[in-house]
Amino acid sequence: MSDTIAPDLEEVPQWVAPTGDDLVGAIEAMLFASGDPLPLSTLVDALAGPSEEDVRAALERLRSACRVPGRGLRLEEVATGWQLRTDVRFAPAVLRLRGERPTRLSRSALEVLALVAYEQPVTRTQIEEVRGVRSGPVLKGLLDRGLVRVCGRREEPGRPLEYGTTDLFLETFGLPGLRALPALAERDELD
Amino acid sequence: MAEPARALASGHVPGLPGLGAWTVHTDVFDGPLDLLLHLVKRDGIDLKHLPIARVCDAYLDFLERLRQVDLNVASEYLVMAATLCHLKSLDLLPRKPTAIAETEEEEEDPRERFARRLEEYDLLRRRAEALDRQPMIGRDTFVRAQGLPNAAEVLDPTVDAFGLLEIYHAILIRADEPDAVVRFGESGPDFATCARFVLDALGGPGGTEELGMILGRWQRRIERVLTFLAVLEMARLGWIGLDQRAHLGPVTVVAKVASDVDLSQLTTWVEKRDAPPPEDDA
Repeated sequence: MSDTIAPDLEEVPQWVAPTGDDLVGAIEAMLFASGDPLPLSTLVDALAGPSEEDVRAALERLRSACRVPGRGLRLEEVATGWQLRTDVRFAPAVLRLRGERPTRLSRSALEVLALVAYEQPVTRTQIEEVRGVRSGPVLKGLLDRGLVRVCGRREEPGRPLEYGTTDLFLETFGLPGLRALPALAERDELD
Repeated sequence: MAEPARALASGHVPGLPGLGAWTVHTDVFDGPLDLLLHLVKRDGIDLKHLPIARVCDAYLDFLERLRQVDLNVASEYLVMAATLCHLKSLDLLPRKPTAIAETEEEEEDPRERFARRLEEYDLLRRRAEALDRQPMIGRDTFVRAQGLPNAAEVLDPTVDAFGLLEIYHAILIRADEPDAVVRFGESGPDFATCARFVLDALGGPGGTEELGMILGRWQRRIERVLTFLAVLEMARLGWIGLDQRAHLGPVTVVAKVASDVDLSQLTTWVEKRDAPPPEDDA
């Protein structure tokens, strides 16, 4: 059994790369079967035929097809690729099915996460200076959840650890990259 | 927790009169900057033109109210109170003589520094709120869950080596016969018997049993060791699955073959191992 998502295409000689509507359908099927975000390159490799532009165009078609009323899935581009996700409006239905309560981050966790996300790399001291309270346990919680990682040491006395966000953070908040972090309208955001 | 804390903060504690000293940790405010920001917002004060004296009074007033309902005030709140009083005093005292002022001109006014700090915290708060408005996995949106594996699927990857080691110690080593007797010239049951024992315990495809329970049925260590090896070997052959739901949790054995399966494949392996290597390999 192969570990990669793409099948060993050489053993499937009758493979005819899909085009048009079938390409959109094939991509949807692959995204569903994967569950995890699929990078564009993985899709292109697996389809073995359509160009990168063709696949991207098909992804955009699928994305708009998902926006039609009556559909429960959305196609999103996140940090690590394209992924089918449930529509925000139907979150209560999914939660009922799973019998779960929604995952929530505490306000202090959100503050630390926001600081790390917007200002990275940051040290724990920097975080505590801005927040005015000890933030070690909150930071550790975020590290344990894989939303924040240690990304280096600062060249200053004590060589404190520097923290940054992870791909999981971008995935969790549906962001294609750090540039996509919500910008604030106010002027003071600039300085 | 939050409800009683709020009741205390409001000064009304129905049904709980005269309880003396309260120790209540309030989660309502997340540090002194949070409280300050709340007061500034409440009073509609512009952060750009922060009236230190007014903010200081509002802050001290609030701390006093917390004290009246016997809420313990964390030390960082008191540090902030001291800072504010110091800044307020700067407003009241005359400017320092110019000779000194010149040298200090490069240094930032502590009041400006304080105002900037509050602004910085305000920006962080708004960023945190903006982040919170993003659709979040597990709250607003969901991705396809990796379906629960059913008994027919390969479950081996879900058991970790530590889980097996734990069982090895618990069942095979620690829980050995109470009177450890050294026995000579006594051979244990053969490998096939142990394998058959496991398969019988599972009772056909889909049947499950906890590994510890199976091993516990044997009286002697050699029997348990052989059975443990048989389980590992049958898992390797794909005859059974091993499933462990939690790290260091119990390991469940799942049968994938009928209990009367031909064991020759298994015993061949044992014989092969015991036999001298075939000549064509040499």
